[in-house]
Amino acid sequence: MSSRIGQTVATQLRVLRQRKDMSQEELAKALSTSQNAISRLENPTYGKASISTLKAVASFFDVALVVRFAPYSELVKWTNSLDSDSINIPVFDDDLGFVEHRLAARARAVWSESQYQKSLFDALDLRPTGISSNSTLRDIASPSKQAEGNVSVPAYHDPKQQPITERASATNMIEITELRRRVKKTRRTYRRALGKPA
Amino acid sequence: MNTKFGVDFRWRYLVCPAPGGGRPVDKFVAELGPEAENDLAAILEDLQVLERKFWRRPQFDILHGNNYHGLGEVIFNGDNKTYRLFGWFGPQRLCFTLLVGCIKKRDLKHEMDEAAKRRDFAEANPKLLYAFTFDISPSSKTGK
Repeated sequence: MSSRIGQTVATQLRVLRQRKDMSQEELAKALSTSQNAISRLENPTYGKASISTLKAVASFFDVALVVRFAPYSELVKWTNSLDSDSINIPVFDDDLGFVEHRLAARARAVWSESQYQKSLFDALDLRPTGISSNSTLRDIASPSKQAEGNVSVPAYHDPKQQPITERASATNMIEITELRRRVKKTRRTYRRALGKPA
Repeated sequence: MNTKFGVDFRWRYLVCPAPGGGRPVDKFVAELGPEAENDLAAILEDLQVLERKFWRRPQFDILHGNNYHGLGEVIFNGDNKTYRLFGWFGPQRLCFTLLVGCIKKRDLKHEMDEAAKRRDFAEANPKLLYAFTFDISPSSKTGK
């Protein structure tokens, strides 16, 4: 077992470093340690790497570190299922396991933003005639689509959302333009108040 | 998923028999102590899923010299000794053929020349090569 731990950690570290085209000296500088220390970490027979050092290395390369006790069978299972990603670890941004999570988070962010805009209309009582309480800013702020009367809200905005029954018509375009200007101004004010860039 | 090939891949380890018909690599591995055998297994398993550009020291090194084209050595330890297992990148893509194993000593020229001879033999007789199977279950030999 010690061979497996020593070999794998040493190989993983070497591959992470070489993938970044870094020398041991450059990595040592980045981790505020000596080149000798890096050389020791990459030596499979060293076997004295501390958890804090490994945490620093993991943080620098933007990969996770798992240190825990486990049954031998788990080690065997892991060994049998080795693939390129097991040794050549993808960094967070390249981690395919996270792609779905990130897409879902993005969808949630879009939804939250539209909810925020709607609550802003409600709070300021800015809703023009012809816009229902379920309309999003996209409905209001896209005159061409509104004129065509075929505004569609992507499903990920809110699956529970009721269909929009009222649409903005071409007759209140002036009102909408004014509304958009005021919303933008209000958002700027809000963001400044929250300390965010306008 | 491997970034170079776009699909998951594994190197295949083959073994080259001696021109006389013996199986020197199998014998070498069978005679290793448990510590060395475990170390060799761990290295081969790790290298198996790595692109060739990551086959580097301290676990692996390329042999330099006109006669040693395509040859490399797997370096492993155990039982207070350092071992070398010479191999050749061939005969096909993603194949590494094990040729000669030995304990590290100051002058390895004889073993390196032997590896070069077996590389030539393997290249000329690819059908004689056989797969290297390394069953390193915890109960094999004595160690975990």
